[in-house]
Amino acid sequence: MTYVHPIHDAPKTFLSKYIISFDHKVIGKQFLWYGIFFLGIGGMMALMIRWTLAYPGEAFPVLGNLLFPHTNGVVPPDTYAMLFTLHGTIMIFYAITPILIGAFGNYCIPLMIGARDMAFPMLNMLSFWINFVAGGLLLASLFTPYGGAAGGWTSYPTLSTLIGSPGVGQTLWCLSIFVLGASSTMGAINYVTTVISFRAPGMGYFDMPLTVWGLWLTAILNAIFLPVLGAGCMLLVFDRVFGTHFFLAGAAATQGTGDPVLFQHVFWIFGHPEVYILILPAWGMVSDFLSFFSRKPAFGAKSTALAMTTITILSTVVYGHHMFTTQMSPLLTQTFMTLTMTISIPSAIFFANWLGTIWRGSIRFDSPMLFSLGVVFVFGLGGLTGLYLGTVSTDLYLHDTYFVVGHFHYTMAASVLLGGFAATYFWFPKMFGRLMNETLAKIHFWGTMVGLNGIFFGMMVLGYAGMHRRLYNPFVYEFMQKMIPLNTFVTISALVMGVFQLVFVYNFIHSMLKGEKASDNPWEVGTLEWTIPSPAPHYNFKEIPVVKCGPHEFGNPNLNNGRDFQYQTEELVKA
Amino acid sequence: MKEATLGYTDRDRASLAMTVALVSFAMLFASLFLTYAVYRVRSAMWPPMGFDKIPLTLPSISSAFILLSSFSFIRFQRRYEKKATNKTYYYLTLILALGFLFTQNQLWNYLNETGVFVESGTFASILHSFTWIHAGHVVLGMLALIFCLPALRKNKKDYSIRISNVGKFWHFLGIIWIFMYIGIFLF
Ligand SMILES: [Cu+2]
Repeated sequence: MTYVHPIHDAPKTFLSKYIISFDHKVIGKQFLWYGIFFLGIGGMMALMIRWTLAYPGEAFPVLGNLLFPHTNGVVPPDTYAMLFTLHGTIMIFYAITPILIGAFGNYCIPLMIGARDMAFPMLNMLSFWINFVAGGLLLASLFTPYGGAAGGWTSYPTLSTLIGSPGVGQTLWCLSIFVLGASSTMGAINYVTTVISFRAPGMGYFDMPLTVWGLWLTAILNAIFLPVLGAGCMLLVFDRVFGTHFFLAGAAATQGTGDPVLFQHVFWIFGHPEVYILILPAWGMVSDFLSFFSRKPAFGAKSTALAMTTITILSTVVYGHHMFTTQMSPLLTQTFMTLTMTISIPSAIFFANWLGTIWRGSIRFDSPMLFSLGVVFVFGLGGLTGLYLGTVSTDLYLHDTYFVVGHFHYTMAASVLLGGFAATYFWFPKMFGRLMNETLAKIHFWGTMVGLNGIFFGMMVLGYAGMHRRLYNPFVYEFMQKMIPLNTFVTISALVMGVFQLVFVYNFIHSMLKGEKASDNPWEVGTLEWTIPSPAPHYNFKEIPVVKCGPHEFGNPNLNNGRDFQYQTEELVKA
Repeated sequence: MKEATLGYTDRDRASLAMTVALVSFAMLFASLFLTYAVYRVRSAMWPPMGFDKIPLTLPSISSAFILLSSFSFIRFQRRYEKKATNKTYYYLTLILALGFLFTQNQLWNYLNETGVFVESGTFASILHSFTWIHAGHVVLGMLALIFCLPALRKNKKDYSIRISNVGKFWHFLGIIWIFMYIGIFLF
């Protein structure tokens, strides 16, 4: 017997409605707020890092004197290390993951597959609150005697062992990542089960919107690879707390030698799939949005889904490209290089599909579309620069330079951030029942786009010129002194980008409270979430819909109902 | 498009979720085994200089305890599905699980008495931490077993899905222990 969630009464109390809610939509919004909060903190940290690189020895404006009184507002070197460590950690695990996977995963999956909720609402609620605990642990680490973790977001030993970072900060970092891993795994269990078993009758896997495909593949990767990082963190905690010798080598270990490089292996076995964990939801969303706003069926939607699946599988066997400089045997480096290059094939397929989708479409340049086109651009750049890092010969020169920083920010930060904004602008009407201001959205887009390319392209140029990452004051080296102007340019771009985010925050809050009321289907799109009222009622679907066609049925000349699209609940009109 | 209704039952859903969860747990332990394999393959001799092989008595008793508890749980589950509520096998499972934890504790005592402290090198680190992590999961497993307690009451509610999922987790922990027994203690 097929089971569907019954319609419960709407929760009445504040606690059950907003705090301990079992409703996937509320949990999604909780994750959204949580992620935006951390995005702010991580962004602030980025600005402090950038300020230090452009104006070394000068006080950080406004906040500087408040945060670092003993240095007259200048960011001290040890704090600088802490800042770039926590900037990375926060952005990846506490901003992007909650927003893309936590918020939109929760919000979109049940609505887009025609379910009333996730398979396990209770697990979902726990997943958020455990995540909250993890965030608390990380923030608490800032207030410990030696400050937070400072061994880089990768936490390589020996930097992250007691020798490299004494104090509880790093231990708390490991614990917080472990707890976060548990939370994400719980989410993943929920997502995988929901997508498999709660699709509306008639919805085959290829009738799912590509957004759901992306989120589903991400959940699978999460379930498989987060525990690997968890194991690494646990052993690191043992090293720090109980004095085991897993990652201590040489003189530090008295009997039997541990191996610091082993942590790198464990970290990147997780770390490379993590890149795809972050980007797959954005890819899925962009694939959908490009079709929605070009008013054309997604070109090769099936092959896009399969290409994403192929990349998911390939992503598990390429991690060695992060470790070419660890004296890996040439046989291994060649193998990892070749495997990495194979990823270009499915990537090229779905990239071509994206271009095929917008080719000769009647494009509507609404804000979600602008941001999606932005993703196409920045991901193209990020992906192509990855080739230089996946090739052993060029990587040996570029490793640990700002080229790497620029590259992974293009793929992980720029693409994912723009994807996240596209998703926010797109689903905002369904979430809050109001429209966001389009003009402000467009200002936000252009400001972000200009700032972001200034930052990350500047970084790549700097890296190519030989500037190393993670240096407190690179300009003590003579050959880097010529790079001060370019660094200043990058920092100013960062400030510009930061300022334009305030436009977004204003637009978000203002539209939520006072925005124009949204119709049920403001974007004229046929996926299931647009068949119900805005904002979505707490039970989602009064009756579970029956799916009769795919998610991208646009521009069919035989449609005679005055629309250029079909709802997924309608019988497919023959073209 | 296809007119298929998706006939997933609650039982399917529960076992799907449990499968994903077990994959996660398996990856955690797999990473630990990977660590072990790397140290083991790299070192010239194992156990390293100055250490003896750990006598098999305590680990073997542990194995017996955890295997028997798994069998006992299977018995309990079979009876439950036949509607013959049977408390004996349920409590036997719990007692055997406690026995497992007890022998693990004895093992740690033994290690410490013979100078194999947690901080004395990779060999000792592995013995201690891997058994700790496993024992931690056994404690989780026991909480899950206690979560099945309502099934002992004579009521109409059906707990068979819960029992079967808890059983899967419990057997999984048994299997992991056997891997550890063979990989770390036997060889
Ligand atoms: Cu990689």
